[in-house]
Amino acid sequence: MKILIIEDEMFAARMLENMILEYNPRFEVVATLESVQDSIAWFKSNDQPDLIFLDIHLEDDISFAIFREVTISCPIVFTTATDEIATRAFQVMKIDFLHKPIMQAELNAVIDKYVKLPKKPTVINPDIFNDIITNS
Amino acid sequence: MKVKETDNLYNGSTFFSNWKKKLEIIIPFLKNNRERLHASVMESRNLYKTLIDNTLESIAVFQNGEIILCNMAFCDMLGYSMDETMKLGLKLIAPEDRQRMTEIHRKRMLGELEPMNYPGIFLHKTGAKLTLDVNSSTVKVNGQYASFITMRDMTTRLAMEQALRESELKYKTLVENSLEGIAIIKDIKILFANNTLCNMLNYTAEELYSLPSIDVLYPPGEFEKTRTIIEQRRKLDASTITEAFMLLTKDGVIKECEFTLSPIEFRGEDASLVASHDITERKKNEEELRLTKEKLQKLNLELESKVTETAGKLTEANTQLIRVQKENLQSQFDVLKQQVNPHFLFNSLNVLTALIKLDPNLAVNFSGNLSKVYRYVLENKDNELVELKTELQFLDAYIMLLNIRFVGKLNVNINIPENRLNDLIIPLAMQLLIENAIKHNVMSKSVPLTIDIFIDQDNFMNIVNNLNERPTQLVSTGIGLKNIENRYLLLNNTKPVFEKNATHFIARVPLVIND
Repeated sequence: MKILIIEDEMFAARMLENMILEYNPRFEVVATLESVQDSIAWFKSNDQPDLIFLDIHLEDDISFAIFREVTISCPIVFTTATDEIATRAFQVMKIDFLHKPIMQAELNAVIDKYVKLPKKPTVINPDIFNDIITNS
Repeated sequence: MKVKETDNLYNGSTFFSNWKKKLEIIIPFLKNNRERLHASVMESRNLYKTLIDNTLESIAVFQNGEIILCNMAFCDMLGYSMDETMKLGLKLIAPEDRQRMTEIHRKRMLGELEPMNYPGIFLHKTGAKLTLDVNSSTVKVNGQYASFITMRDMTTRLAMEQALRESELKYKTLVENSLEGIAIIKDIKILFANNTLCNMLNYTAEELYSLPSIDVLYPPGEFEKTRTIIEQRRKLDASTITEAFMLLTKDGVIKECEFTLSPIEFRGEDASLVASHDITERKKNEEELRLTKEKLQKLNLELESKVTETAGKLTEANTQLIRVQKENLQSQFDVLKQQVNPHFLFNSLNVLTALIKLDPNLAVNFSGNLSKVYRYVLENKDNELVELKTELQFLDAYIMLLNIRFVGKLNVNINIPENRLNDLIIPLAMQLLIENAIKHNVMSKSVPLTIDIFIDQDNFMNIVNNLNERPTQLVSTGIGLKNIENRYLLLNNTKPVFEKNATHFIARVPLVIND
């Protein structure tokens, strides 16, 4: 399984990678990206992975900005620490998310879901997040 | 006396000697008698002359067109001396009247006329004409008829009468046209009433004269009381009295009038002159004025009490507001102090979780600094101000944590001289500003966020970061810069200054010199 990690905190990204490999050492973390710009560039030159772990707060912008530029055809699991409003939105929209710090068991359960189920893209309309972001 | 001639013829000498003797006796007697008679006549003449001369009435006797006798009163009246008067005679009569009076005189000289009284015009020495009241009658002087005339000056009387008439007219006009009702009252009878009073009472003057004046007073019976009062006051002071009475008009309307009563003599008797005017309107207006004034006073009082009440409420509200504001600020302050706890702790724990597995040595270092941060928060949570050296020690630990979290993306340069380390600052303000800079800006290894911390010449702590703003932000739940302002407001100190230019965000936080 090819997994993409988009996370701006180095230790968090490395930790997540370790935990994914802990779940299944044969899984491949194809890249660890830290910004929206890097992510857009990556999607334009790489095949889509099987699963994305996407942090909301990236070093240059909010990760939803990626969806304005590229169409993602794989499932996404959002990761967030304390964004309460975003968390509530995910719950309402039945989008998978993990709270940081990510616990191995929770991660396992989410990955289980995507390993067992057929590959089904998470359809994200970036505009639905307009309510929870502000243009600074 | 008759003398027998025969006796004289026969007894000549004897007769004469007898007669001589008799005459010697008689003559002195006769002489004496004549003198006595003469004296008597003279006395009588003097008496009349005295009377004529001293009477105030002018007297003159004309005979044959000339004055044969006149008194000084006559001369004085015309302004001439006695001689001049006697000489002028009929010329004393004014030319226009001379013919008429000469004719009367001529007829009187013939004894044809009865005594007459007529006005005659005479000339004064000054040329002024005098109209005299002439009484003429016929007398006989030296066996001839003459005009005996007595005269009185009418000019003055006429002038006086004219003046009186004018004055009467003037007063009548004044009285009738007066805005005051004027009446003359004797006892309970109205002897005179002017038009104004008649109109006021709606009676004609004749009706009023036939009414007892008590009929126009209201209520009936008031008059006796009033008269008693007036009489009592008269006894003390004979001058004018002013009183208010109620009057009843013919058509039954009650009017309040003010009267001025003055004692006068009318037709030789004591009476009262009454001047009155209707004060019903005035009283009504006064009453309205009084009521309005009362209303105003009441309104004023109400207003005052309302103002007082409102002022009290305002003061109370203000006090409450200040209290609420203070409480609010205090709570914001508390929130701000606590704000470091959940988010920062959360993020730090996330990092720590990773570090424990990935780099245990760094994890120890990290948790050590995290402890320092929280010790500082615990120790200073109730302080409004903290020494700069304490704050900087805390900041070192905090920045250490940040640098582990954002490896290579953040540069914080602190440049504070040693001698300023005792200055005071609001706790956690610098930490909050660093957190703000991280929150609002893009930070990457290629374009790191650089924060410079130093004190400027105005004694402000500057926290300056390069500007590389994130395009979108999650909705902020934080309280941010406003809180730092409020905390300084709470301290009643100089306000912090926040400014943003094209390249930098500059936060300037006041320092308090610790003496």
